[in-house]
Amino acid sequence: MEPSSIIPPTIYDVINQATGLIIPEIILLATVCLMFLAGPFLVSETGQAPAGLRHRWGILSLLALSCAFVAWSNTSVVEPGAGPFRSDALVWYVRGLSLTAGILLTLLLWDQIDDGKAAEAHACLLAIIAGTNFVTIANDLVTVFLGLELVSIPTYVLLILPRRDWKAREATIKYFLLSIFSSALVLYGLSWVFGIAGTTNLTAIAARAADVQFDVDRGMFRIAMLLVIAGLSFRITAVPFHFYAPDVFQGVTSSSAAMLSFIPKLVGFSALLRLLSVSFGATSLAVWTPSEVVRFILAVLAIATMFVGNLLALRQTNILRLLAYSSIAHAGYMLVGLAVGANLSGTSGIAALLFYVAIYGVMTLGVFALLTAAGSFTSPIKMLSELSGLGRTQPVTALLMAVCVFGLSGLPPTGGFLGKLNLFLAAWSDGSTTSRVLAIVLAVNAVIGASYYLRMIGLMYLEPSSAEQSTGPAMTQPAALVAGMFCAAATLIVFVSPQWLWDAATLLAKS
Amino acid sequence: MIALLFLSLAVPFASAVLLMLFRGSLNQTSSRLLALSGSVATLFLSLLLLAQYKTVVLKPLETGNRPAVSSASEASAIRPRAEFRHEWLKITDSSGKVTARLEMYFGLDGISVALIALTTLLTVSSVLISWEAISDRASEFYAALLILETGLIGVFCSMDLVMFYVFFELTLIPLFFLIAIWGGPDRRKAAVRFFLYTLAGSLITLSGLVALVAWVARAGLTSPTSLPALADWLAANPLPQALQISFFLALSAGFLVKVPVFPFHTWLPLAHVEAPTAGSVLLAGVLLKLGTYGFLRLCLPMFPDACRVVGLPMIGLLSVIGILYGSFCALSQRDIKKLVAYSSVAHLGFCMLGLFALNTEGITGGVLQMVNHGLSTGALFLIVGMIYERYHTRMLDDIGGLAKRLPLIACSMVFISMSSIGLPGLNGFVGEFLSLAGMFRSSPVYAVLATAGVVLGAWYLLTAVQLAFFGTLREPHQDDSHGHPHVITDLNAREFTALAPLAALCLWLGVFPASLIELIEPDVAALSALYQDAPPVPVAVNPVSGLVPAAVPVPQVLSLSQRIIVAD
Repeated sequence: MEPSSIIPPTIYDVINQATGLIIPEIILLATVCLMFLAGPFLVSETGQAPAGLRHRWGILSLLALSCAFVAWSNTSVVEPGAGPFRSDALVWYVRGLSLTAGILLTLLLWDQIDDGKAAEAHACLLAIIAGTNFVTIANDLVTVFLGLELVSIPTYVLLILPRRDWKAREATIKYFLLSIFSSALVLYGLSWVFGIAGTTNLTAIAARAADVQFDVDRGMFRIAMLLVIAGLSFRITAVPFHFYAPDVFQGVTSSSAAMLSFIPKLVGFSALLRLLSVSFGATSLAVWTPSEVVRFILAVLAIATMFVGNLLALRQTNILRLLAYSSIAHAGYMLVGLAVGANLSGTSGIAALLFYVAIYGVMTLGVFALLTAAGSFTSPIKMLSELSGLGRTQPVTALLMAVCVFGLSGLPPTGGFLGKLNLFLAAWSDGSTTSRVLAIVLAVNAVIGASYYLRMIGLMYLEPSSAEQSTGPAMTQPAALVAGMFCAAATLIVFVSPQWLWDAATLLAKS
Repeated sequence: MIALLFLSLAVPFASAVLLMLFRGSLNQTSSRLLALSGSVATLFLSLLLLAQYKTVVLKPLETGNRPAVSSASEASAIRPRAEFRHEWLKITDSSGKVTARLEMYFGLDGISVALIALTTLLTVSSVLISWEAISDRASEFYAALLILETGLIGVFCSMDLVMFYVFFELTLIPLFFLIAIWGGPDRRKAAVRFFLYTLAGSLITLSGLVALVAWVARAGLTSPTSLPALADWLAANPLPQALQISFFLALSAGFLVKVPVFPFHTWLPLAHVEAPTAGSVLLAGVLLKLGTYGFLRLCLPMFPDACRVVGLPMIGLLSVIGILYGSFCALSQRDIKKLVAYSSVAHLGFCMLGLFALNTEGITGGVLQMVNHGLSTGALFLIVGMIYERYHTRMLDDIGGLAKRLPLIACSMVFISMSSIGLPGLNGFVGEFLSLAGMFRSSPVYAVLATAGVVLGAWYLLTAVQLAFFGTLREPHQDDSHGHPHVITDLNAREFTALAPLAALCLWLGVFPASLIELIEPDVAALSALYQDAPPVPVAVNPVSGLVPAAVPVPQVLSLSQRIIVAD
C-alpha cells in the first residue's frame, strides 16, 4: 500500500532504519525503565529513603539527557518514507528544545521531590520528554497518538507525586479528566483522517490530500482538522479549552507548573504544524499556509486566547494563577504565527512561531525556576504579595527574575522583544485582513500584558519586604537557581545574537 | 570617532553596573564619587566626540572633499557621517530569502553629536545636584541615573529603527524607578502614570514602525530598518498620501506623548513635581527631546506629504495651543516646579513649531530650541531643587525676597529666566526667533499667535522671580524639626559647578549661535531639501524632490538668518 522501492526491504531493514531515527528517545526510555525498575528497591517499605537519594536520580537523569543531546547532534535529516518515524528539520528543532527543557525541568524538580519518590518523578519527566519528541518524529497517525499519550500519562503521575494534599489531588483529577477528553477528540479526528485517506502513514496522507477529488473528502478533512484543533487546543491552553489551567497550576508544585506551562505547548504546536500541513496536502511546511476556514478558526482562537489570558491575569493575587493566565496569553501570541502560516510573501509565520516557542520556553521556565529558588520546599511562594521586597532580601534571584519577566512582557533588552517583533512582522507582512487584525490585537495585548508583569517587578523592587521574609530564607534550592541563571542569560543572549535561533527556526521550512 | 561613541555608551553603563554590583559595600560618598567620575568621563568623551566631529567631518565638508565614512548616499535625508554596522538578525521567508535585515547600526551626525553632548553635560549636573539630596539607596539611584544616560545617548546615535526603539524604551525603566523610589509624596501615582502613558503612546509608535517596516519589506527593500536606507527608499518611491498619513499618525503617537504636545501633556506636571531634582533635570532637559528628536529623525524625512498635509496644520495648531495653554497654566501655578513644568509644555511648543515649519530656518530653530530648552529648563530645575533643598518647600506663598538671603542663587535665577524667556543676547532668543521666522514663512497665523506666547513666557517667569526673590523676605520656619536653627547658605561650590556650565552655554549660544548652527547645518539642509521645491499645499508630489541635493538657496537663507542674529 505504501510507495514501494524496487527491492522490497526486509523487516529487519525496516526496524533498523526506524530505530536509527529514534536513538535519543531510546536512551531516554531505557533510563526511564531503569529508574522505574531500580527505584523501588532503594526505598524501604514505609517509603523511607536514604537522604540525598534524589541527587543520584537527578544526576542519572541529567546524564541520560546529555547522552540524548549527543545522539541528537549526530542525527541527520532524511526524506520521510513509509516507516513510522521521520527525521526532518522540525524534528531536529523540537528535539533540541525538548531536551533543553528536559534539563531545565530536571534541575527544577531536583529539590521539589522527596528522596523516596525521586526515581519515579524523574522517570516520568524523561518519559514526557521522549513523548514530546515522538509527536514530531511520528510519520504515522498511530505514532502521533502514541507520542501524545506518552506525554499525558506520565504527566498525571508527575502532578501528584511531589505533594499529595487535597489541592494537588483536585488539580490532578481535573487535568486527568480533561486530558482524556482532549485525547478522545484528537483520536476521533485522526480516525476521520484515516477514514478519508485509507492509510495512517503521514506521507501517504499528504499525497492523498494533495489530490482530493471530491468536495465531500475535502469537507471531511476539514471536520477532522476541526476535531484535531479542538483536542490540541486543550494542550496549548487556547481559550475555550483553557479552564483547567489556572486551577491546576495553583494546585501543583512550581516545578510541575513549569512543565505544564511549556511542554504541552511544544507538543501541541508541533502536532498542529504536522497534522495541519499534512491534511492539506502540503509536502513540506515551507509551502503550508492555512486555508481561509482554518485561518479564521485559528485567528478567532488566537484573539480570544490573548484577550482572555491577559485580562484575567490582571486581577490575580496568586502568582501561579497569574502565570497560568500569562501562559494562556502567550499561547495566543503563538497562535498568531500558526494562523499566518508559511507566508509566501514575507516573514515566515511558522519560523516566527517556532522562534517564539523557544524564547517563551526559556523565559517561562526561568520565571518558575526563580520562583522555586526564591521559596523553599516547605513554604513555596504562592501569593503575589510574597514577592514584595525580593529585590532586597534576595537580590540575585530578583534580578534574574526581573530579566525573565521583562522578557515575558516583550520589553527590549530581552529575546521576548524579538519574538514578538517577528510575530508582528509575520502577521503584518502577510497582507490579509485577518492577519492584520491579529497584528493589531497582538500589539494591544502586549500593552495589557505589560501592566501585570510590571506589577511583579514593582512588588519585587518597590515594596518593602514582608516581615517574615526579611530574615531571608537560606538558599535551599540551588539547582533551580542554576536553571534560572541559564534562562535569564539565554533571554539576554538571544536578544544580542538572535541569528542562530532564527536560522534554526527557519531550517524546518526548508525541509 | 565610533570608538569614542562606544566608550561614551560603555562608560556610564559600566559605572552603573559597578554601582549595582557593589551596592552593598558602597556608602553614599563612594557611590556618588563613582557616579561623578563616570559621568564626568562620559562628558569628556562626548566633548572629544564633538571636537573630533568638527575637525574630521565639518572641516572637509567646507573644503569640498567629503570623506567617505558613511554608506548612506550623498543625497540622503539622513546621513550619518560616521557609523558602525553589525548584522543582527536576518529575517527570512519560508524559502530562505531575506525579507528584513535588522542591524546594530550606530551613526553620528551633527544633531546627534550636539544632543549627546547636552545629555552628558546635564547628567553631570544631575549627579552634582543629588549629592546631598539623595542619601537613601544612593548607589542604586546613581546607577539608574547612569543607565538613563546610556539609554539617552543610545537613542541619539541609533540609525536603525529597532535600535532606536529599543533605546527609546530603555529610558523608561530607569526613570520609572527614579520617580517611584526617590520621588515626592505622590511618587507611585506619578511614576505609574508616566510609565503607562508613555508606554501606551510608544506601543502605538511601535505598531506603526513595524507596519512600516513590514510594508517596505514587502515592497522590496531588504534593509527596512536602516534609517538612511529607509529614508532614501521612501524618497525614491513615495508612499501614497493616505498611507503616509496613517503611518505618520501612528508614529507620532508616542512622540506626541513624549514631547508632550498639548492634549497629551497631562502626565508631565505630576511626573515633574514628584520626580527628584536630578530626574526632573534629565526629564525636561533630555527625555522630552526624545519626542522632538523622533519627529525630526523619523517623521520629517520619511513622510514629507503627511508632514505637509497633516503635520503642519494639525501639529502646528496643537503646538500653538500648547504654547498658549502651557503659558496660562504656568501663570496660575503656586508651585515653582509645576510652573517650570508647564513652561516646558510651552517651550517645546516652539520647538515643534520650528520643526513643522518644514523649512531650513524652522528646523534649525527647532533643533536649537531642543538644546536651549535643555540648558535653560535644566538649569531652572536645578535652581528650584536648590531652593527646595534649603526650605523644603516650593510654594510661592511660603517664600519671598530670597535675593536678600541667597543673592547668588537669585542672580542665576534671573539670568536663567532671561534665557528661558528669550531675551536677545541669550540662547532662548535665537531658537525662538528662528522657529517663529520659519513658521511665519509656512503659516503666518500660527507664528503670530505663538509670538503671544513669548510675551506670556516673560509674564509668568518674571512674576515667579519677583514673588520668590524680591520684595520682603519670607522664609518658612526651619528650626522646629531638628531642634537647632537651620543655617541657610547661598550657592556653594558644588552647586556652582553644576549650574555654571549651563549658564555659560546659555550666554555662549546667545552671542555666538553659529557655533551650534554650523554643526547641524549640513544635516538640517539635507532634511529641508525634501521640502524645498514643493508647493505649500501639495496636490501631486514630485517623487524626484527627495533626490534634489542640498540646493544652493539653503546656505544663503541660513547665513542670512545667522547675520540677523549676530548683528543683534
